Amino acid sequence: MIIRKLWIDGFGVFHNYSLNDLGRGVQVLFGLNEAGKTTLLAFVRGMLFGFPSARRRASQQNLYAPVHGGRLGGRMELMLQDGRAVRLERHRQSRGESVRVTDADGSSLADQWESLLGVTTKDVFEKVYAFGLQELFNVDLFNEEQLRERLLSGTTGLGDVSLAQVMSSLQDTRDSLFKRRASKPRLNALFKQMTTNSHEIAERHRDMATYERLRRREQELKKAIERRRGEIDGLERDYRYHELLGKAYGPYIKLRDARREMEKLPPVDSFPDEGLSRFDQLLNDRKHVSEQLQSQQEKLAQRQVDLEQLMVDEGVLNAAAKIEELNQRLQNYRDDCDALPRRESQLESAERELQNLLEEMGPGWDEDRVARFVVSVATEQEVRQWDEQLKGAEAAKGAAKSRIESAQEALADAQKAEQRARAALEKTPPIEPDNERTWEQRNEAVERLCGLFPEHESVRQRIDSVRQRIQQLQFELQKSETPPFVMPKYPCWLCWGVAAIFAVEAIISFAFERLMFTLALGGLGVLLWRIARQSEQRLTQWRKHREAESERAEGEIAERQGEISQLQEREAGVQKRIQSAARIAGIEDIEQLSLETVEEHRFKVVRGLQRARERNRLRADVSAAEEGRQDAEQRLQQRQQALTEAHEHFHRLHSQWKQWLQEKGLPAELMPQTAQRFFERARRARDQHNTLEQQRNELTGIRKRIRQFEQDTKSLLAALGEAKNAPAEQVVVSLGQRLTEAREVKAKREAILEAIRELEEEAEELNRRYNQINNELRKLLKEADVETEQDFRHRAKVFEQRQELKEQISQHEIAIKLLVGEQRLEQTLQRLAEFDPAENQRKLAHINEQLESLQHTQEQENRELGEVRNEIKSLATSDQLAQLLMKREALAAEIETAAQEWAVKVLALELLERTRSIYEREKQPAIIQNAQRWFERITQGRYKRIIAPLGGGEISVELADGARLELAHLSRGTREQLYLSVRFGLIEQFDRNAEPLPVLMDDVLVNFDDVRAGEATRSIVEFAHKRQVLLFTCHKQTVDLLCQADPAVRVIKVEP
Amino acid sequence: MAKETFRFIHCADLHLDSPFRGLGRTNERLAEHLRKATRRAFSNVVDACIKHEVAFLLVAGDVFDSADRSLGAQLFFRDELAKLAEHGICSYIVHGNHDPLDGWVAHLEWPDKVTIFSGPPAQRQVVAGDGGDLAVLWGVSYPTREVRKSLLPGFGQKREQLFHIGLLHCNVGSDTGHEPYAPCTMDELLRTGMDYWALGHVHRPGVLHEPAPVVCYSGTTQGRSIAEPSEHGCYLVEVHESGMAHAQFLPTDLIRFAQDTIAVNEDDSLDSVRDRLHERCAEMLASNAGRSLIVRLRLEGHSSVSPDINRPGAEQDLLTELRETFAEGEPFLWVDRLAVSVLPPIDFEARKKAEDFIGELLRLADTICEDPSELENLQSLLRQVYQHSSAPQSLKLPEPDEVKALIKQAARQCVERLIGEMVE
Repeated sequence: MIIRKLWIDGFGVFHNYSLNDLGRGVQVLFGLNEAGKTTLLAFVRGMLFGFPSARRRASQQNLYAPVHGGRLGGRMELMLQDGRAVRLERHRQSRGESVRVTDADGSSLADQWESLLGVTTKDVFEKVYAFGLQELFNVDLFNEEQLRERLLSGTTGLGDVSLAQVMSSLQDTRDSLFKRRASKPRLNALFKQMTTNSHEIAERHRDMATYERLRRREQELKKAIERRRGEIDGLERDYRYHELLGKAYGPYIKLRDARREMEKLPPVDSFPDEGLSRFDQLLNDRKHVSEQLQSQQEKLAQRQVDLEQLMVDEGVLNAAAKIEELNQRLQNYRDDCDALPRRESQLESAERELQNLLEEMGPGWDEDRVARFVVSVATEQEVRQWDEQLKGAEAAKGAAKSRIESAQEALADAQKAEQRARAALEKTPPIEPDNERTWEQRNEAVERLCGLFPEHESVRQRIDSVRQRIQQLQFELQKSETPPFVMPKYPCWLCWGVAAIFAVEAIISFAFERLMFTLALGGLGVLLWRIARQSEQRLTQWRKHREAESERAEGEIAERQGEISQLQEREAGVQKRIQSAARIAGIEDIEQLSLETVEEHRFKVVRGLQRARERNRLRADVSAAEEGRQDAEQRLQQRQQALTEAHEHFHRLHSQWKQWLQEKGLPAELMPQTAQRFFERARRARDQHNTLEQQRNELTGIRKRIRQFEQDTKSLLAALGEAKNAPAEQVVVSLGQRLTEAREVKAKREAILEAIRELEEEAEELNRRYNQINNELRKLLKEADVETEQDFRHRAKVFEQRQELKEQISQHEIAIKLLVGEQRLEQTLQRLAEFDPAENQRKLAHINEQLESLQHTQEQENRELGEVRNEIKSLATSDQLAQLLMKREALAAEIETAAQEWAVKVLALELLERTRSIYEREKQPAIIQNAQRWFERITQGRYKRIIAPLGGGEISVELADGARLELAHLSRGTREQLYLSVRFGLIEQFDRNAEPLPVLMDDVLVNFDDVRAGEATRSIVEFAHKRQVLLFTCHKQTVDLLCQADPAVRVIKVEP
Repeated sequence: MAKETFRFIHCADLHLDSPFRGLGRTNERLAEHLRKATRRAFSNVVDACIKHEVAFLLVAGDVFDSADRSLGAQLFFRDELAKLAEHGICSYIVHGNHDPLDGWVAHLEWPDKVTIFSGPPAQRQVVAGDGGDLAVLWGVSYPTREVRKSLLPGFGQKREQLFHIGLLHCNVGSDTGHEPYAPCTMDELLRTGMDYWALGHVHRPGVLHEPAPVVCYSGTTQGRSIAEPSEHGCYLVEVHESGMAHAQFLPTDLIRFAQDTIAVNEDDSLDSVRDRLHERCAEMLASNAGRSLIVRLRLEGHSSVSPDINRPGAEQDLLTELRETFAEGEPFLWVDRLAVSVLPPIDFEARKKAEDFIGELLRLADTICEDPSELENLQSLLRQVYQHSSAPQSLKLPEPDEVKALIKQAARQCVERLIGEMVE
């Protein structure tokens, strides 16, 4: 992209100011201080990327408000690399800006503007493309995140990932795992927990000593408690015995009294078990059985009387089957008698209805014909097909008519379109030649020419540069150098001579203290000898170096001269290609050919090509419209023919239908729709005929069943010997009632006979029971060894008294046994015979006092033993140690995992660091290589390399001899040259895949020495071959240098 | 030969109450199970003795770890032997390198029918049965932890016709993977004329020689680390009147260890990986003979799911889900570790050949792995953690081969980050 023209409406000191005819290469904008150079630079920057926002006023930024009137903003005409012209207008408004981007024809390119600027942002443009001395010197490009990323990407193969970010992220992870003298990182925390855990485990190990002490105490206590228990047991036994004697004294007194009572009664030791109650029970049973026997006799007599009163009708019972059958048929007989008159009336009505249907069907149709007439499914299907065909033919006629109307409308539209296309072609102005291919060839030739001019200029520059280098080398060859100083050797010989004389004298005179002086002189001689030797060696080295330098310079001169001849040949070739392209491009004045004339011609060619393409497009439109009209006419004719065919088809179908009706014997006036209704009526008449036949058959059946029933009734009466002339229904009902009554009488007789049998059996059973009770009473008296009931009752009473006393004696003995035990019963009874309760109480109180004292001591010992055992149990069952050991293992496992994770991070960082170092050393990114090339050239080979750390950080440079220098050790001028070179490198890299943007420089050469300023201007000129460079300066010397480097450089004076 | 048929059980390396090695943190319930596992395993041995009505129990050393000084373990051991004594079953015990005679031992009152062998030389004991003497036992305990000489010279030669048993904690051969304490060879064992050698020290069960004599390591009764997978238990030995012994393995462990690698395919999603993990865990648990299981799983492969699965927290999420699903039941399955080694689908060999930063890095990693001095340099970078004053004894400075593996892992992580496949 180059700026062709710019017009400032209002911007700082400028108002209605314009610059025209700017082109490719270096454009010098020369002006004195305050002429507005920086303002112009800011204007271009603002036009491309937007003016500084009013909201950024706080940052003290100059907003360049118009001083001499006009709206802030302006217009620029640009030309893109592919030759397209773009017009850009930008103005500040009350809110934001108005921006308009159009092509040569005024079509908007607003949506393409962003893509034209590519990845270059406003920030990048300000720092890389548009810079003054301030920006050049102050900005540390390699610490700018955006630029550093750009620097790395594409050369390291890392895509969008930042190496610095990756390393920083790894370092963060590593530090979160372990850090010296920190407490929070995971491993530090785990190590701390591990130490705590070890202390806790050691604490638990000390439990062993406690355990042994507790075990000893447990043994002692167990023995003491054992002794105490023996003493207590003895006393308790004694106490219990005295206590029991007190308790047994009461039962003993009762026992003694019972024994005395027993001795008074007669000796009755046996009596039947429960004899008295059994005796009373048997007497009651005998009385009850006697009463039941009498009641049975009375019931039997009553049943005999009932039986004799009942009589049975045997004749009716014998004819029971026939009577029941007639009763079952009686309801059917009644129904038939009721239905007969109704059925006769229904038959008459149906015959009338059939007659009406036959009359509706037309003459000649009677009951027989209708019964024979059948309408098949196939016939109905045929009628439906006829109906569809006739309807289809009718519809086809209608459709053909409407298609003719639409074809007529289409023809009218096509005729109008043809007229419009012809009018548009006639309106377009003619062009010469009217051939698109010729204009395309001219455009291609102009494109080639635009590329060939910079190449020609580059070759020429290179020839000049090589010639200068040859001159410089020849100058270096001629230049004489002063050889290094060489020290003579005679002072050392002098020292040694004097030293020898003193030595001889010292030996002769035995003055050995002088030997020290002699040795010092000798040493001085040696020192001087070494200095002289070193200066000679330096001289030899200087000579060798000079010879080598001369040889190198001569070799290079020869090489450079060879290069000049190659370059001259190349220049001639390029010149020839320029002329050939100019002829194809249609440029008439080939001799006066320049980049500017080519650029002007290029506008013409682009416009011609666009017009030729437009005319071609319009001609194609006319041909298409003509073809459309002819198609519409043809379609109309085809549709008229189709309508005629539809009419003929309909008439043919109608006559075929009439013929079919005749064949089927149907009325000739029928149409397919009415034929369906006729078929329906015929079907109904036939159904009515079938119903009539069925009704006639049913009536005959009813009459036959009535006759049969009346005949059967008469026959039954004759069999019973009862001739009656009553109606059949009445006779059957009467016989049914008589049969029911006869059956009921018979059932009652049988029930009474059964009851009589049961009563006789019960009376027999009661007689047997009465005899059995009498036998048992006799047996009981015999067992008691008595004769009468009175004796029996007396003996029972004595026996009962003796049993009660025996029971009492036994209970008292048991009570005493329970207290003292069976063995000691006799002994206890003897002691109780002479027992004193008061003396016993005193003895008990004494034993109790002794027991309480012993129990108290025992409780204390038991309590202590319990505590000791609890402690032992607690130690034995505690799983604290197991928990701590488990925790130790878990911590160790966690530490192992975390340590491995940490080790991987440490090694990953080491790998990245080493790889980065290799990369920096061996594979400098392309940007740095480009910058290095420019820097080497501007410094005339003094500096060979630029070293930029990949992960960011300070940049350094390497001298031709391999020594490295930090930026801080470079002069201001050299540093500016380095930054200028780096920007060249960056711009070349940025422009590789994008539209090259104009480069704006504001007096960047002021701190360069004359030689480097000259080399820098030549570099700028070469750099500007592929782009536009707007160089702002207030120094005449800079302008001269640029003109010297390239006489074609355009100088524009800036004045507001 | 034996006068009557009898049975005995041979166990060893109970390591009562000593912790499980290398396990990460667990939940409370599992911790309780683990703490009690060694005791329950021995209880299973005791129950087996009673169930099979054995004549005696042999314990071939390392009952507990003296260094851990668990009082509870010793009391528990005594109580279990007392239970055997109540059933008329004798116990014969030798001490090994983990519980030597000079180690920390509580003064306990041992029940009748318990015999603990003293230090060298080996002692002789005759085991009596109902119908007379059953067998002759020879055994010896470690006087101290490090016994570097063979203890076999103290064992006498077989003289009587009775069945002879040797009870010893030793290292047979040289390649057992355990400390070479009381070393001896199979030939030396065979030359003693014993009919059965009840050995301890090696934790994996195995019959070294049969049918006559039978030489067995019963192994530990409960595996205690991922290095001790599969079943553990004791040998039930039946000696027939003919003098032939038949050893049958009885598993006594409650928890087993296993590890497995699960392949992740290129087109897998996070859901499908999760499903496969759950399926695998269910399979492992179902085929573990009704015992609980502690597993270490590894996800491995090149897959487009790599960014999701390597996202911070993703691995922990999967682990938590697995634990919630399988750790609550009975038997349970506890996933101790889930290692994720799922790489993005990168062709590392191709990247190695590329002339860019990544290619340079991969080549550098290879060069370092081939250079012992470089490996030593990098090893020294790791000292500050691996030789930290508070580091556990188990944390050893990586050997050169291990450093190589770490470098490869580091290089892989660098590449993943440099091509933007990994975010941390």
